[in-house]
Amino acid sequence: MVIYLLFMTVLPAMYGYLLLPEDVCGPYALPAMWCAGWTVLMAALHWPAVACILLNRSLTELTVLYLLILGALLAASAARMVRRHTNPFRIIRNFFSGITFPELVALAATGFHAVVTFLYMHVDDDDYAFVSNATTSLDTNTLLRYIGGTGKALTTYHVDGIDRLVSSPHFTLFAVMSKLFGIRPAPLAHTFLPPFLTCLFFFVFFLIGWELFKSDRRKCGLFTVFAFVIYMSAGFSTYTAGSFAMIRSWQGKAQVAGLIVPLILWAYLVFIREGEMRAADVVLIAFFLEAACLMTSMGAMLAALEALLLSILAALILKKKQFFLRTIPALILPVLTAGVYLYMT
Amino acid sequence: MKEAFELVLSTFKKVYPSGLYFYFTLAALLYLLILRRKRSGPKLLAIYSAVVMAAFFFPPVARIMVPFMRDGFVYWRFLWILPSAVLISFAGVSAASFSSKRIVNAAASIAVIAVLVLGGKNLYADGAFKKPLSREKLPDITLVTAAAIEENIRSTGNTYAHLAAPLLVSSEIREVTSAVTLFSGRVIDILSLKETNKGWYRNLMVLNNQLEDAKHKTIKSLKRQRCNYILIYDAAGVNGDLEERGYSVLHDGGNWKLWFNPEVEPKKEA
Repeated sequence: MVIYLLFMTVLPAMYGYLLLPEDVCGPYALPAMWCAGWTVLMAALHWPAVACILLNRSLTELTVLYLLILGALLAASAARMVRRHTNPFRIIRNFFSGITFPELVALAATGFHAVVTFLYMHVDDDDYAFVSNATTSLDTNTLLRYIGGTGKALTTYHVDGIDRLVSSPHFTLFAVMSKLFGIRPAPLAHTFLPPFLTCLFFFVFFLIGWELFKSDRRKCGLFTVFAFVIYMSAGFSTYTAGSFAMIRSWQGKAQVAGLIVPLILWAYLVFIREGEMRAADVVLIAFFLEAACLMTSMGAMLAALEALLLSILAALILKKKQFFLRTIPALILPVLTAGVYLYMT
Repeated sequence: MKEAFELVLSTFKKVYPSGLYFYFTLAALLYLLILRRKRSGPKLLAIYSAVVMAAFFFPPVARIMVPFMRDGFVYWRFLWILPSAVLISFAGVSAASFSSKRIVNAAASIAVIAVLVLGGKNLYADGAFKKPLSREKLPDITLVTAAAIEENIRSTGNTYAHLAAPLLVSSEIREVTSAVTLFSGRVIDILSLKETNKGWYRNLMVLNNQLEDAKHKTIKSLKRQRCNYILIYDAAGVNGDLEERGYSVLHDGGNWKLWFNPEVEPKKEA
């Protein structure tokens, strides 16, 4: 459990540190790193998982490969931290010092919902695709050799419902995490993962608020409080991003709606404020899109569409083609994912 | 084009049944477009949101998106890239920050929250969350059935476990254990079975207590399908048929029973 907690808190922050400049978002550097770092954890699994599924490798082999990638990224992040003499405690301190009342209310609301997701349950039969396949992978040490929901052996991936699990194998995240931490996929997905995801879903509003309100912390806190109230009141429809994020947070599409889509918006707000899009920013967008590709095939398409639209509009507003031209390389990955999906269908 | 327009309308009604939150989004967007377009960040947000909203309602866009969104079945996901929460919250913060007096701003914040709460439906009060019986957060019948089958496999050494069960169990039992294979999986499987294989669909309806007239044929059929475990509600009234065909009660769940037949074996490979 301790290793799991470190994996969910320290590791994403380290990967986020690798992706983002230290002064991004002022006092919200820690939430920014945590949100961005979680997408790194996702993105790093996507193509290894697709390759291992298509090459009929085992879950153990995928887990080892994933750990090697994470280890390399962690080493890079640690090296960067040492080179820049970064004090991680200063980053944490900056978040809490000068905290305003609305921010405290926003944190309290986020914490409240995190506790609700830990203690209470929402049963959803979409788990068929995520949790059943993860349990099957864990118990058989295979990757998509059986239909998760029935246990029948798969002789081909060219089957409706299975094809998109090849291009967007989100279930492998649960399978790998279960293998690493010894927590079964069902309690991992339903109990231990949602509280962390809840925090990410609301931290991203702090980041967006920072860009929209000219670094006014009080307004950022209020912005996040209102976003929480909107999500909390999303019970009028099961189809809104809010209801997905609040009640089905462990599912890939909820993470696309609640985290990736807002993160991409935040990123372009940062780029347009800075007036340019650097090579490192292209890498950032690429990681966000890759994370979406792991989560769901639909999410990959929507996230790519969002990035494309924002890049075109940013280019038009600032009259700088670079926003559009530099987004194109990041879009290659969702296009490749779509290619895998179309090959499977 | 008519189908595309109908798709847009039906999707709109699904996502915004009362329409109020759409009007909040629209009002916030208009506020942003008209009054807050000077800075590049809010300008980008406003124009992007306007483009997405217009694209959603434009039938040719829906027509193009349909093949990529499971023939329009999930067209509502297009609205996920419309940042409604960001727009409404931005307008709310602007409304709650217009005065130089803190007490006025605090009152305005509370008013905004009240409007948002009254305009929506509280998820906490909606029954979306229930108290779980375990960390798996699955129905008790599913967990008990999985445990009973695993225990039986351990004690008999017979690893073959092909289960026929109501949807409540069959949708989720393989989240707990992959030791069990299933006669059928989740709801969508059932709907496809309805069109392609009437016999199986009939069996499932009996298991789910939704069909009575075929129940005696059901047990015979399930045995023929090599189901050595059958979970069925007592209300189906097929206990006699199960005993007759060599099944005995493995676990008594009160108003349901898990039956097991050690003689049923998997189909021999040719």
